[in-house]
Amino acid sequence: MSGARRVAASFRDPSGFVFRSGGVLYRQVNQPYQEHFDRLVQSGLQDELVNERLLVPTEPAGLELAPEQGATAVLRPEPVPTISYPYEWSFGQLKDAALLTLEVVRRALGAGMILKDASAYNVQFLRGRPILIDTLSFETYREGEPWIAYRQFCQHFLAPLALMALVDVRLSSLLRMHIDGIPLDLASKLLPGSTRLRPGLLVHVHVHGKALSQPATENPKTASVSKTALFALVDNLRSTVEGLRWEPKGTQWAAYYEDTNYTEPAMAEKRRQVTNLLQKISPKPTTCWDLGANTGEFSRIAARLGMDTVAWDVDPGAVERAYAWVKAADEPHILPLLQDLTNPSPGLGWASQERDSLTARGPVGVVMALALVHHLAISNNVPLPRIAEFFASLGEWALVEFVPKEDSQVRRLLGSRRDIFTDYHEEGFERAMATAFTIEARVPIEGAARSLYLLRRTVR
Amino acid sequence: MLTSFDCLQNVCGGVAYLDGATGSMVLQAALAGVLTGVYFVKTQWALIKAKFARRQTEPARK
Repeated sequence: MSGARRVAASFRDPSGFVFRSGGVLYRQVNQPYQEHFDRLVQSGLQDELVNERLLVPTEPAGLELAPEQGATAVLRPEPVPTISYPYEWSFGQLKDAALLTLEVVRRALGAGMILKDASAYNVQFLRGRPILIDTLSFETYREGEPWIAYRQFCQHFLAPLALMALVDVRLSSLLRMHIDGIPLDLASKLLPGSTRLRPGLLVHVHVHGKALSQPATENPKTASVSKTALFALVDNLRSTVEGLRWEPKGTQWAAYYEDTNYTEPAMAEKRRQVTNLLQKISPKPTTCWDLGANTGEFSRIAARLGMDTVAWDVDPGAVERAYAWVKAADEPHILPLLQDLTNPSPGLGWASQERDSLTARGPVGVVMALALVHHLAISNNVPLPRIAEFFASLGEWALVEFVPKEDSQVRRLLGSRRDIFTDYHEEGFERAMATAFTIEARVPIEGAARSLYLLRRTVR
Repeated sequence: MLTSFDCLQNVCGGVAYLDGATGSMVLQAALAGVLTGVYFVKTQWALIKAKFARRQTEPARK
């Protein structure tokens, strides 16, 4: 079929692949996978997992849509508004994705199937909750067969969770470097010696890492694993994952909203103005990226206006809190994610195309940058025109807050350094933004000496 | 019965595409006995607890 384009990340599994055609995402199922797919459907496992929101719903599409030979079916999965990656998830998000994967394996075993992979990239967040997106991950279970994805599960989930919980939460960034999960021998070296006293971590990380570093032989030892033992393995992995905890405390932004120079009335005024400005945008955007969102206070406004909103922040504690709120409120429109805007997620993997960069996942309808520009311009020395250019690459519209030098937050940033920012003033800001946007509205925030700008992109 | 060697030869399941890694397969087999024992005790204990919980709530219903 012409016009169809295979998704660059979809090439490892010969069971099928994902492609786009006419802006719609499809999955081609290949003939060798037919019997496994039939079992998934006929056993009732697919319905069970979809009904419990553990597996992404799919609808059958016409076989004529198949772009390559050998297709036995074409499926149209429910679209995920924003694709995210494990190195952008908070501890809680990775933990929930791990528990989801184990629950799916447990239920699959009950239905005479098993997961043939346990990649964290097969999990996405849909309507605030993790969900398995790879319908072709299931295969028929055969008695005696070990779980082929055991190593992958430990590398993609258990090792990073253990490192985040027991060493430093920022070690999730190792997932950005190791696309097939953190090597277990490396995790074993980085974890404190005391983790050898935890039976789950001892066997699944330390001993497992050692076992994997043994050189492969031509005639490996033979062994079989019963189904009951697999249930036991999955149960033990679940207990080990559940035993890992991390709470945000003492992080950079943990008390940010308590430590601003916004009085409560000024904060209420800012919320009102943000709402008004977002409502001015026509046609109404469906997607929003809130850059430097902290715990997602203002993302909630965009979400209430019906926009699928990503609350990006550099602080793992803020993202964890935002995710906790999303879970508690069962908020379907907000996805909190970790992102360092001074070094955003690059294209990764094979040909740098397997995992999309931040910019490749845009542009969105509107980008919000509230109380962010001074951090980029002053803490990171990014010239204002470059900031304008970056925002324009991410969104059709931008809602940006300018914080002047007189503001105590900026004075604090300048307190320990020379002020070399001669263009950092309202006029300089407007001039810089005009290189990529037209200024549609400027609203001073009463009681805060700051201004909000609604900007419409003029360049791409 | 299948063996881990069969899996390494890529015959198991027919659609496996990952390298399960010898060490990982052998470790699962080595752990099987202990983990099954722990799992058995855990599930039995849960059953006993559930039975007691039922007994305690029954008189209350009467």
